[in-house]
Amino acid sequence: MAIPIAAEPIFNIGSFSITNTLLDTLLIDVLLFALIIFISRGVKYIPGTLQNIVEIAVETYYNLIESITPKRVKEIFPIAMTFFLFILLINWSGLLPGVGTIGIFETHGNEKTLVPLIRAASSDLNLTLALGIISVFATHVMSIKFTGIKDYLSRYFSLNPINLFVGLLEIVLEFAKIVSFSFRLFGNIFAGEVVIFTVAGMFAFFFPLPFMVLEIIVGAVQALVFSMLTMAFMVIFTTPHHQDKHTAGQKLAAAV
Amino acid sequence: MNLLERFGIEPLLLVAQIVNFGIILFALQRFVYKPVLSMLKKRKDTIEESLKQANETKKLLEEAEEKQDKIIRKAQEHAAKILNDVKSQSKEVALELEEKAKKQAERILEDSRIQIIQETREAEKKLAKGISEMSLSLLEKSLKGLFTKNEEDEIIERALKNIKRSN
Repeated sequence: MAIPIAAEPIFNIGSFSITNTLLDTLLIDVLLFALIIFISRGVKYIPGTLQNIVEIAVETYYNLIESITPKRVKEIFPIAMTFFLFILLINWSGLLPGVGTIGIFETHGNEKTLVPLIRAASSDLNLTLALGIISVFATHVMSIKFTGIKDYLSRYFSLNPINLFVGLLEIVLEFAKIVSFSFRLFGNIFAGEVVIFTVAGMFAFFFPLPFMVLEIIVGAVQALVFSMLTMAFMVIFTTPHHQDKHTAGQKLAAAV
Repeated sequence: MNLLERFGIEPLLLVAQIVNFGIILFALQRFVYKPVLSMLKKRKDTIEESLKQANETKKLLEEAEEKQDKIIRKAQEHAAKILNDVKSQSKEVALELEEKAKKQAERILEDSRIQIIQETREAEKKLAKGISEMSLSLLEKSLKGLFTKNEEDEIIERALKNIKRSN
């Protein structure tokens, strides 16, 4: 019995198959929309417990991004915070009791496999790839918006043959970014899922607990890494190209 | 394509996840981040304003206390001065009154002395008159029969002249 890399379809709506990872995404959507409805009912001047928690999270993250990029905090904060919140909840949802363990047994020939009804969505490459694409796409949109199309294109195209070659490499790098974003998150969470599944298979009680704690940390770290990398790329891409080189040189000099 | 299939990548699912994230991003930005951040800013501004006002109030209070101390000190000084003035004035008044009383007493004493002297003189005069009248009538009674009428009148006249002279 092994965990398949691809998400298993649970039911179909027309030609669109609803997979167990998509159900997990919908579960997190419900949770986030509950929060959105609660907050949209009115932010109170004297906050309650939940509003306090939301305020602490928002303020801490806002200050963190402001400390790194005070100029672009208003534009970068919403997307970076949403990445963090969404990925964190998705990652941790895989550790909930019942997620990945309650399902239907299917028999393929002699082999009997369990198809879980809900599975951590970040162990599905569809989600991580989607997030990677959004991150890179949003970075490029911001770059065009803040530096202008001319400066944006000068990053990739130049009359100087060396710069032109570097530009081509940069284009390849952009696709590599999507792959690295998606596979990093997918790999970490999928590996964690496999580890817990294997350990629980050996002895179901107490034994998986340390690995679960580790997975809680991994889930938070991966959410932070995804969000911080997106923010870092956005900061680099919203700085004009010639200035970017200068500051990168300065940073390198400082690091040396 | 085979690799994508092996990883379970389906374009439709991919698009669904992108749309899903887009909706969540929009909703969170519109209904959570914006109001929460604006509320945090509002609260921060209010706290800053309140602290500023509190500092100003403290300053004003200190100034008012200083002013109050100054006024009290001034009032105390003024009161002490008034008290001193009143004391010295009352002393003067007392001395004046004493002087006046003394003078009045002396005057009363003098008046009464004069009055006593006058009354004594009047009494003496009355006594002298009474004595002379008594002596005349005694003289008249004792001279009766001894002298003639003319002699008698002459003696009385002389006696009267003598009495008048002695008065």
